[in-house]
Amino acid sequence: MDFQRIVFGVNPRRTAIRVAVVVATAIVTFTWILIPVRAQGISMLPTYDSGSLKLVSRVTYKVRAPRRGDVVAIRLAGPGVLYLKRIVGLPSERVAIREGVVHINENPLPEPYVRHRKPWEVDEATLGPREYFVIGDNRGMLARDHDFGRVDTARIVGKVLF
Amino acid sequence: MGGGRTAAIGLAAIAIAAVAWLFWPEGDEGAIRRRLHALAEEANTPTDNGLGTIAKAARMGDYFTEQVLVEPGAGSEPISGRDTVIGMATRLRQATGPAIVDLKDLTVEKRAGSNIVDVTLTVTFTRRDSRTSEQTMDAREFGLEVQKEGGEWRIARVVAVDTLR
Repeated sequence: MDFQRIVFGVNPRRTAIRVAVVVATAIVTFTWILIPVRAQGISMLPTYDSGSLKLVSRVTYKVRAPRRGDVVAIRLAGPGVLYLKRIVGLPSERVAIREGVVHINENPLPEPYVRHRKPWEVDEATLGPREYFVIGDNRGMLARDHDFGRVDTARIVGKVLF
Repeated sequence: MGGGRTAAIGLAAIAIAAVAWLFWPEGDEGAIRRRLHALAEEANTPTDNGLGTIAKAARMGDYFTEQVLVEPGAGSEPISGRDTVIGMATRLRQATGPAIVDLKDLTVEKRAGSNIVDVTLTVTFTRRDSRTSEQTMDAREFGLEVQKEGGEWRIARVVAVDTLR
């Protein structure tokens, strides 16, 4: 009887409802609202250290479109592995990288979050109506070691909050 | 007491469902998943001598059809043939050092009116730098065509997906 009271509480029905509410809230929150992710790798240095825990909001882009400067989570085959990258180019813009500096429609983009730059060169390309151009903040890497480029809107899972 | 009995019945139902799930006969999807995870496990098995490397290459070859085609993505030529693919994978592993391979977000979809099954997945490669001990992870998305050959599911085509273009 004591064991039963410890496990199910004084009022087992109320305990079951409480547990169900907590579980349902956790499932809804961490499936459809906030996704916890662990940053791995150096491509977002110095903004995010490898191993740091981040929360991705899945609701931000239901309210508004992604903006330049947002750090976004991008899905690969599914939500189990995500790229964390910063948006530098918006749909229909022309993007190029010259001497490591991102140019949008021929104008250099101020990027205070970038500390070191290698002289990356990327030919100008016009983004599609559903495409964003994304890069990590660590431009001190060699371009060939860094995953960056155009991404379709459908792959953007959400905005990285903190 | 009535509530306690209800909870106990609920727990028993969950336990029965878990047992049924564990012992339910494996379908094609389950067999393909098991096969791909076995391939990843084989890739992660360390080998410490030349003979071991050859034996491992032979075991890994069993997961592919003889005419397997690998499309590595933009800027790289397709590679065809089981022996070529396994040879290149072995040399690549020797050049880059050992990595732990893991499969994530694996989905299996059978094509209507065909014996080919489409698989999408993300493969992660985790390496540890021998000098700094720092761990790095690369991830790549792939599409596979898997077909039954000689009673076993084998990979017939591998297409690397360029998530960022």
